[in-house]
Amino acid sequence: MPFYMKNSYTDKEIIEAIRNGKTERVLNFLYDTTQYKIRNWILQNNGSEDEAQDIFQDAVLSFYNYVLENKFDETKSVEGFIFAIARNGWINRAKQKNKMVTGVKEMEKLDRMPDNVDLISQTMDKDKVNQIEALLNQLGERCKELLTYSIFYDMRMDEIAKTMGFSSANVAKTKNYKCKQRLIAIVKENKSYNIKSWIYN
Amino acid sequence: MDVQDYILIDEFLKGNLSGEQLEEFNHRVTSDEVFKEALEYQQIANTIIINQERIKIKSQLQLIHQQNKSKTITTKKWWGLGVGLTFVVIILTVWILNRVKNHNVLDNLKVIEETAEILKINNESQSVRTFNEEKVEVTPKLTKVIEEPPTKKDTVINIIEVNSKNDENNVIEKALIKDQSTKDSNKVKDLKVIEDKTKLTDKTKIEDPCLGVNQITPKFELIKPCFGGERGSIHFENNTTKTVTFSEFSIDGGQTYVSSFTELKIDRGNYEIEALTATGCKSKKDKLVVNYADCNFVIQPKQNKYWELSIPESDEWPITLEIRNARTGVLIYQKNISDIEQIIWQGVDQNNNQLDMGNYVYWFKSKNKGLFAKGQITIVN
Repeated sequence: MPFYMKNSYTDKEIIEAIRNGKTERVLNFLYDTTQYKIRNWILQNNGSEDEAQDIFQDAVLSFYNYVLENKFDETKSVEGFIFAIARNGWINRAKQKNKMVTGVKEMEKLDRMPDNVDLISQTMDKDKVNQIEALLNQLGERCKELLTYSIFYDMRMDEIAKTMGFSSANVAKTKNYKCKQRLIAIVKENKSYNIKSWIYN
Repeated sequence: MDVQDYILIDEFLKGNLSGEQLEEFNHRVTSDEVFKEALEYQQIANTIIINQERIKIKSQLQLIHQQNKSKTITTKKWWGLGVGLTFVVIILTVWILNRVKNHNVLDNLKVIEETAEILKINNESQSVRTFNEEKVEVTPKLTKVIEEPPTKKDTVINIIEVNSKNDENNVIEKALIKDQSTKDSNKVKDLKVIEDKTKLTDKTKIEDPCLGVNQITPKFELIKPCFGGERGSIHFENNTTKTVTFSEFSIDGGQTYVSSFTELKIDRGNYEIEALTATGCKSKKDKLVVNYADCNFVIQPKQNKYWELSIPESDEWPITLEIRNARTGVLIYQKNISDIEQIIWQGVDQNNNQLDMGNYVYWFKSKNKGLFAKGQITIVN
């Protein structure tokens, strides 16, 4: 069965899909397998529905980072790993919020995590989101897709060429260069966004 | 910035530089402002792309969450609706059962009213009696209390006490009645008086309300005219009075038709027909014979005027059209027709040879029903 038609994935398939930038179905699968567990745990530990959802989303993104940066130990379960990230994330957030200090201590005691994994908070203010959207709208869909594969998913040029239908890796490489230059030009044209500060946040 | 610098920065951002290359890179960043700016912008470009993908993934997760939530809500709603509907069904069932039960009780009372064509009031003379704790004048009276056409027969009812305050206008407000057929007595009912009788008799038998209808033995015969024409009409007659009018009738005990025989698709054949009154009284059943009249046609093939005929209705296919020489009876044309269609006969034989002027007979046959339509075709110049 083709990958995009499957409803259930092995850990290996999930990791492969993330590395290939084919994540839509994987996200559905991860939601189905891990969200409920994380949500219940956070609700049991003084969190709200919204907080649980936020933590879950950040945990999935953090898992993406681990995979894309080749830091994910593939001998471990994806589900358990995401849950561990979420649990760590929630304990840290609860600490920051000074929320139920006793509860947090209890959590730490009871749920000491086997994985030393951290949640990368992906919270972004609305202005920043809007600015990114505005900049990328000027770039065009094709360039956006290409840069996403090369920068976010760190895919090789031959893989990008295959995925996007370019005749060779060299073509993909040239287009990638041009797209990046174009994006830089757009950024330079929009200095009012104070984009430089983003990289230091 | 040239391509080489772009590639170098790209490799640096991907973490692909070796220790020596990294040292050289750092040196350039500190010494070359243009290079430093190029690095910054490339970092910004990467940040933008990474952030937009993160936003996208988060939005996708959010969307999945919302869809799931609405699915859950919908499921809950359906559950709620299901439970609600179940309750409604239960309540309705209980209500209907109750109604049926009550209706049966009411029906008993109704029967008492409807069938009381002739009532016997006990033979006490006019006197003052207590009725419903009220002193009333009791006037023994034979009273017809029919509000609806009677349907039951042989029911005898005794009115044993009548509260009649306004005797002149024949208004009986209350009556204690006794239905002897059901032994259901002592029911107090409001009765409306329609007709008075002058004499009292004991246990008078009620006349059959459908008697008039039952006595009718109508005779029907319907001839369906030529194909495609009007289908004729149907009449109900009483052999004695000739005045019986029915608004409804039923064929072979099936669907009831309302005086619209002309619209009735009825095939040739024999049927049982009965007339129905609005109150459900049925006449005696009688045979209805439906046939086709002989239909004759004239065609002028040389003037391009052919026989264009609609196939008669049939519930049996195929049917066969045969055309024979009227004088000799020799079969000259035959066609099996498998469904309703328009037939055009151009006055030719089976081999498509033009026939001579003259008379020809045709008939439609089916395997089981045999001949069911026939007539003559005349070929002229």
